[in-house]
Amino acid sequence: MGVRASRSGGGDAASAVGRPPASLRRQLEELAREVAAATPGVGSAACTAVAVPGGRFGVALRLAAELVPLRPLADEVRSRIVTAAVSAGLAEALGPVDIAIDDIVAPDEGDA
Amino acid sequence: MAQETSAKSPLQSGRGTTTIADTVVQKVAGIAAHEVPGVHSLGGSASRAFGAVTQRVGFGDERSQGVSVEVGEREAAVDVTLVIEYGESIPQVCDRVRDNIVKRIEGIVGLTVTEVNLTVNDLYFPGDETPPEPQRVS
Repeated sequence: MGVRASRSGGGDAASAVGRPPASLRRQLEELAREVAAATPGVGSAACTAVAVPGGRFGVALRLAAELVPLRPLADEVRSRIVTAAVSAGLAEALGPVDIAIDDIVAPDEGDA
Repeated sequence: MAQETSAKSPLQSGRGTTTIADTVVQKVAGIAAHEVPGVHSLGGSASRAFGAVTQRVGFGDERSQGVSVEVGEREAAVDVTLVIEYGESIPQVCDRVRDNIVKRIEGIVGLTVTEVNLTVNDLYFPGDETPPEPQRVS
């Protein structure tokens, strides 16, 4: 067993393959990306989480959205991320969720 | 004519901000104009020729070609250049394009549209397309 695996204590999937468990920042990033991508009306999503004052992590999402009302969509994504963070026990670490809608996925765009 | 800008319109909320890129407003306006029967394409001849090249190499988007927008915090102004099919009533098509752009931008982006300026710069005649060159090798 490698040095990293023995230091991480073992027991979870990450230590089984010799990697340390994901940081809080990475966990939030993953959670926000998955939740955003699963929200109806979102075409694709990219996400970064960055430490902000107060010991929290701010989440910045960039979305390509379908032709739906965009501001209600952003509010829905934000609300789902907060709910998911609470369920995952990450609510204390979640800071502001900034959402930028950068592109529209037109109905015929996926056909090519 | 309004200039295209890369600025964004932010909306502050309790748990973060929402920004919608100007290119999104531009694309929504382009899609809305295309939806109206009688509109053949968007953009002037130079912009269509340039657009054809950029699209071929993977840049640019036909939907926002010929559309420029000026976006503020709550309002947007739109300029569109159109090619209309011959035989259609130009004033009627323009009215429908204007109404559809206002409806789509207000519904999708949530901005008030202060003006939609349309320029009809060409007419399309069916059969105008140059036929593809026959293949020399089967």
